[in-house]
Amino acid sequence: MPRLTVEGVGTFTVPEGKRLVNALEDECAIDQLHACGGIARCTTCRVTFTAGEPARMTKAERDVLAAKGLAGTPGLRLSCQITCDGDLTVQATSRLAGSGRTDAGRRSADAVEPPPDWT
Amino acid sequence: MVTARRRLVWLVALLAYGPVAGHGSVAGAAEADGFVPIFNGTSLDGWEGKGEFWSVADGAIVGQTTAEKPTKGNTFLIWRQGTLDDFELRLRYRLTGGNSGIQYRSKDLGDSVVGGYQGDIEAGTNYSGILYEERGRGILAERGQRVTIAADGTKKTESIGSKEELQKVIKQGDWNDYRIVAQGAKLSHFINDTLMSETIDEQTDKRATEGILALQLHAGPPMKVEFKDIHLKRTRLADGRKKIVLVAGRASHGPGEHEFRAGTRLLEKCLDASGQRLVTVTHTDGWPTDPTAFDNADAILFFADGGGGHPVLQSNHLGQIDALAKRGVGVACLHYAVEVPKEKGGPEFLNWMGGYFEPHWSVNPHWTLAATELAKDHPITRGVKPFTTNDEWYYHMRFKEPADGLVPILSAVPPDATRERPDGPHSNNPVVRAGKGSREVLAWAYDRPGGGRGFGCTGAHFHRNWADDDFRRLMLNALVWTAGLDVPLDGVPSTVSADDLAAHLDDKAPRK
Repeated sequence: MPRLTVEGVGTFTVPEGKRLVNALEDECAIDQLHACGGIARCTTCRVTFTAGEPARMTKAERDVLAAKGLAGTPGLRLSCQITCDGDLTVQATSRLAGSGRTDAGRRSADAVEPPPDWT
Repeated sequence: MVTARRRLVWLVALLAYGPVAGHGSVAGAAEADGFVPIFNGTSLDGWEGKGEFWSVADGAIVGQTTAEKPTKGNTFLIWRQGTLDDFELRLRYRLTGGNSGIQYRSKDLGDSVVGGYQGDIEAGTNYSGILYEERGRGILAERGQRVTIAADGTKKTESIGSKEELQKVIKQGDWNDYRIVAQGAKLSHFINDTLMSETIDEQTDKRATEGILALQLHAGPPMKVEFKDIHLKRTRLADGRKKIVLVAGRASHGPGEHEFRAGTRLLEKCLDASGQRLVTVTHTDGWPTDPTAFDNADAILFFADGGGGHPVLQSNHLGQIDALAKRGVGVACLHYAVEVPKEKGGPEFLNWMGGYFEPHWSVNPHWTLAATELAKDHPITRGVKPFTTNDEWYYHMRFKEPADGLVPILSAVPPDATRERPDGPHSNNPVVRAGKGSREVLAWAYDRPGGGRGFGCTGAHFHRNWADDDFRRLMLNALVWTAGLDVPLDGVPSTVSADDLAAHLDDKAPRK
């Protein structure tokens, strides 16, 4: 099983292939935002990688990061578009606490949505 | 004649309020080495989990997922008979694929999900033997590490061996022995008698000193895990803490009366919030199903129906508690639980507590306390002022003679009318009838000559009396004292709300 390290929180073991957004919630008990329900629309599920950043990216992630002016920000990725296939280290900076929102967003599906179309 | 002698003994005691003897050591276990099986090898009795994943085969608990029947999240089989504090657990496991683990001192998060300390088990080579905190702080100690976690969460790590070399001790796909030793803040994991990891968890706002035991079936690829020969030994609490086990009897009487469950839960809540160095465990619905329930107790409270139906008189319980008392475990009984038949239980109660309700000798009228007196300079009466509750205050108990070690804690003068009822096993007798105007002992403390303490109190028929601060403080002080702890100079602090008093009441049909 891969290790998912959330800086300042701890290191967790996660099922291989699990969506990062769900692993942050389930295994790490992080109040990770995912306002659009994990369909690459809102960018609130963003995290910043400090190690283990996946090389590949879905077209949906590429497009929404560009549309929001976030493309090219070092390490910044959408956790809803990433699966835990190896050891990862992230900063969880987009969280419910302090956001003013009433909830983190609808639970994301088990599989990446929309179906991955890799860049 | 007997009465005159007894009164003389008590007069001496009232004047002296005898010294407090040292508390004896506590041990106690059902088997010679202290280990008790908590899985019967044939069924999941006492365990609870999702039936589609857990079964028993060939003397082992089997947890299994398949491609057709996966678990979406990690799911757990929870031991429902008790909770763990300080202990040593031994079991054998065999893992075929995937990941599993042994949860301890954990929390039940509902829907067969558990969070807390886990002794990890893995088919791979990374995680077996580590300490993982499920739904918490994640990996706390890797295999080959001794980690000290400070109060602020910072970690100091030292090596206890090579992660790779330690992995070689583990027989992949075969049976292995797993042993977990949890003693206060120190948590040690052994596989095949080799220390894999050790953690000293001093992070007080996040660590757990007690909680449930469970077995894990991990989400992910199909897997199968088997557990057998599961044995638990409870160990005396580390760091000078004491453990009080509260046993509530089954429902009886009308609403607001003999509320054993609500009463013990209330006492537990007060003790837990009191800041005393103790752990409390409450078993409701009679005798605990946990075969190890009393094994590391420092004191046991029975609040239950007594007489011939007293929980300690059933099965082999009398001998079990007698053995614990001889090892110094404190015994306290409240209200009806102070009564046992003279022939069965009477001699033992005299040895454990120094007194009991003896039918045809003791009586059970309802009355309001008058001319209440409390023992002076005894820890149990610290911070307690005389109170005047109306209760079914039994009196004229049978006390041990000679009364060495006995101290009357609470006494009052019953109305003469209570001595005018017809004779009967509980209502009156010639000795009681002749004692009009006499002072009677209603609660007492006992320092056993061989070590250990006992306490009895005849009140608590009415649940509403727990609202009386002085009555409640007396009982809390008594439990703390019976467990061998020092009672605070102002008594054990507590507050209860109307909601607290209404909580855990038995579901009883209103009387017509």
